[in-house]
Amino acid sequence: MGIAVIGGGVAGITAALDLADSGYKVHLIEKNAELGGKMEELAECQMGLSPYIAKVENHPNINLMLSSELERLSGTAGDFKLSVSGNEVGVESVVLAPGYDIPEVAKSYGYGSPDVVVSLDFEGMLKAATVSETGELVRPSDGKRVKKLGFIKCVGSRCQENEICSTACCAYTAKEAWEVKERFPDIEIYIFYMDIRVFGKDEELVAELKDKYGVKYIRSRVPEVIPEEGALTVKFENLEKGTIEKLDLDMVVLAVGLLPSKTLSKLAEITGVKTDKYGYIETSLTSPLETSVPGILACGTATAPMKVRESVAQASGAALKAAGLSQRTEPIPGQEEHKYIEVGDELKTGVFICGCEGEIANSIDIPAVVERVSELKDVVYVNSETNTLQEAMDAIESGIVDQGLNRIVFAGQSPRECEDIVRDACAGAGLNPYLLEMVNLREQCAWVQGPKDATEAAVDMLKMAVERAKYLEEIPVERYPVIPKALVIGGGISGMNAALGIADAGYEVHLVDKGAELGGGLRESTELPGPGGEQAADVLKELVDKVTANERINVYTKVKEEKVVGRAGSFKAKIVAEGSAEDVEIEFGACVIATGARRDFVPEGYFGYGKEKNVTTVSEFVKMLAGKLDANTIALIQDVPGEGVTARYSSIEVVDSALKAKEKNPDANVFVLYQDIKTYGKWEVLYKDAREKGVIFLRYDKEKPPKYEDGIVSVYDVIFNDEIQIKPDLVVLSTPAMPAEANERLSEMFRIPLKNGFFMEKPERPKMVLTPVDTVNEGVFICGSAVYPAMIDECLAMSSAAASRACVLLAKDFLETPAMTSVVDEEICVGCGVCEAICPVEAIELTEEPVPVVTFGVTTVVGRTKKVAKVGEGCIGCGSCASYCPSSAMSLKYFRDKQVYAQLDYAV
Amino acid sequence: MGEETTKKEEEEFEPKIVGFTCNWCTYAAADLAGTSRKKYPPNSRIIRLMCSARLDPMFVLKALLNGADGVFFSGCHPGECHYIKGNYYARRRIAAIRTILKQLGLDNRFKSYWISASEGEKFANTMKGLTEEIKELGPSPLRGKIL
Repeated sequence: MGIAVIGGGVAGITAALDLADSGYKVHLIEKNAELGGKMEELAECQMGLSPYIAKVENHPNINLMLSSELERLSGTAGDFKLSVSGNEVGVESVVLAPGYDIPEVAKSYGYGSPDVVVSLDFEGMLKAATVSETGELVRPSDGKRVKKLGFIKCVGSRCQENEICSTACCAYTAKEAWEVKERFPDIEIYIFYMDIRVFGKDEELVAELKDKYGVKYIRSRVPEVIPEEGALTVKFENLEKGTIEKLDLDMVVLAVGLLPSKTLSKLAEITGVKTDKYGYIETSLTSPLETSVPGILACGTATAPMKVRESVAQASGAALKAAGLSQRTEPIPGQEEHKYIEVGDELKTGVFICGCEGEIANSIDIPAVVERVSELKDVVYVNSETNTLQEAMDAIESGIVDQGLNRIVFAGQSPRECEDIVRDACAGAGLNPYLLEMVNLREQCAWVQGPKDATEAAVDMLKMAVERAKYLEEIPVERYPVIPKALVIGGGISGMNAALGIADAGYEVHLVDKGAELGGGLRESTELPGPGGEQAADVLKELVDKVTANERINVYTKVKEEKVVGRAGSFKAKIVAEGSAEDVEIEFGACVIATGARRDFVPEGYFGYGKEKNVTTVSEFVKMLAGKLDANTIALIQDVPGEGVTARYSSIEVVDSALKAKEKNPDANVFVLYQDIKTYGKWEVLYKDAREKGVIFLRYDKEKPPKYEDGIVSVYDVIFNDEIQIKPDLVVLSTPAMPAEANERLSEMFRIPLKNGFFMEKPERPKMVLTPVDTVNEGVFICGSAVYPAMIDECLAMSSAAASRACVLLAKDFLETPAMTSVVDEEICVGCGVCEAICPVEAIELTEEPVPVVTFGVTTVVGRTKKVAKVGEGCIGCGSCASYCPSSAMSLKYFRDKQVYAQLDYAV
Repeated sequence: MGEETTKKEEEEFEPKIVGFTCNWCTYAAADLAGTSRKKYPPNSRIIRLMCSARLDPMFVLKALLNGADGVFFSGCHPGECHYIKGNYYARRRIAAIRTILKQLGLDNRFKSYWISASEGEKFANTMKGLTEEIKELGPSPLRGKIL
């Protein structure tokens, strides 16, 4: 059978690809005629997502059902029957990813005036500005250049109609402001906000906006925007002066919140999944992906408002859980062993020009191009009949099989989108896939140049490609077996969850932890945040029991891992026990790093911590809450300075414990001193509850931090505009979280860069996070607080995602050695060692090799040896060594000197 | 140039420019310029390299010797390299290339940029500016002389 994924946005696409890539049949159901969801409306995201969309559209294991809606669902987990726009589909499990919609905006913010727009429309305006004649950002009402631009945050969220926080708006507003400032530096920007709820990289972006770009962040809930005589007057409260002020702006962007997709209520009705009081699919802190109906998983903005990073992590995680209920029925693409035809000396180049559904044919005179390309030497076949990628692939395959073509030049959409697909087509037809040269006729020609210029450019580009194709060579690709085992480093909640996920998928797991017992950081916790009152110990016990009972998981405690060698699919490492001379050697195909974060930062001396008995930290305070609390005045201080980062759970924990203290002891005075309360998403309700129950929140400026002297906390409250003094019985400090100690060692061993001590995901271009658990080292995945200190639900979703990505890899029987790597001509190499010194991944070694001597045609090896560079398995194909080698002994396959020179000869 | 008269060609010098870009940043930026239909002059021919580290000084010299009026290179912003530190290596090479080109009086025909994948706009504007600059410089002294 298979798995149904409902929703073709970024979450649905991610889930579908993870499943299809590991051999499951996927029915991807999207109500619109196109894939991409809301991401398609964002220029940059569209760019980043397009290769994934192309992959979905051409995936043999995905049955794409566009313009289709789920009408009925019956059956139970393992045997669901779906009726989708009249078609019957049988599946074993279902992933719901219907996404979000934006709220209807009330007229109050001047909405209705053409110059007041919501953020998604503003993205459209930025795109329109790009293609407009002047390239300027202009006001919709009169076409004049925008000089003063305002953003109002929290529109349609953190309000009566929608009391929760929409999580994503703070970051997307910062990104939009940044884009405006980069493109139109003269535009003044004002951002009205309540709290800035950003973490990590986004925090840095906001700081940069304030300091470098001069963006004014104004803390005030704007009561109204008055459109009048060509200006928009924004009224706001100046907190510093305590006065109501007016500001005239040219344009206002309303950073609207995220609501559950409009289709969600109907979807919930059809599938029977429970929704929460906000209309989101109900999930829980300890099972963030499971719905109330077994066999139906949920992910992305259908479960809570969130950013792309969290959405795709949930999507991968949900895919893993859905796969666990399903049977693999399909072959995994790219696993068949190819027998490539012998390519003789005779060049037979075939040129394939795809019309891309008119996109290319509209600007380029294809017949003229064909005529001129046909005249080129060695071009034996030109095809310009195809209009879609699929048609082009069929044409290429028959060209290779029927016409015996041995060089393929494909001109169409960008290779960033389709190079892999075209390579597969060549390989499928028996031609070594590196005898293919791509021409970017759509993005870099048809779309950017006038008709006449485009045709000329197209001819040039094709000539360059045909010439380069002559010098392409077959790159032998070796297959090596994938070791169907995983190594999971870290036995905390993330590590255990990842290990269980991988083990349940049928693979053996080595789970290692430096501690004596499993459980990690959560062992220090007691009651989890939120009204559920779940105990960390119960959550842990369940996981530990499952892990210990699982036969496929080998647990090693009090150990560390050393000497990792190999590449994705085939790693080796040593597990060294503390104080033991015996090492265990293990082999594995994938690795998940889940080292967590440390909470043992000691704010020594701060507020007299360590000396004064009544000064404690939040984690200690949470434990105190379990017992009798005899404190009548409690001051919780958020954002205590120190090394480390502000955890995503930091505010939640402060507000939750303040609320619990107040509930426990209603007469107590509970104060929270803060800079920003970051209770994102549904956690906002805790903040609201706490205020309603009488917890007093006092905001201080970074420049005027609270002081503690003689038992008195004094803080300059920016809302009262005066100093407030509190004499607390108990001071509770919320301290930063720190990276695990092992991170640095692991970072070096696995060659994964760190940021502030935490692991960095694979950088993506454009800058977006579609693969939040993948790293630059293929086959090594990261999750949980090892990436950024996060809440339990996020750690669980992310570790399931890491397990899912690991399983995609482990599902393969074979992997191919990377083709684009460096090779040494040993005869020329003089062993100078330049390459060894500059290789960014230390993949090159100098070895001592015997020098062969040829006498009268007979090769003999005499005693003499010389130093020769050897390219090892780690080569990532950057080409540094090839361009630095002083004797040209080193070359990068597919980018050899002669291949680039060939292009150059026809470039001018 | 089919229908265009030789006279017009003389009037308006259309430079030939060769550009080397890395696959992950600037090549993607050029794609983004396309996706957003940002028009720019047709004078540049782009050669895709996986990483800026592959930029061999010989490529630049060869392009100029072939008669290119301008050559440019563009990669990821420093610190953002897909291959960890390839663009830092490229930066060193560029400095070296400049010294050589200075000796030959060609250094003003070689430009380098950092354009990230999200900067489609910047790519298109760079192409415009570069074409103008090279137009002002006039044809390369090597044009038609060698090869």
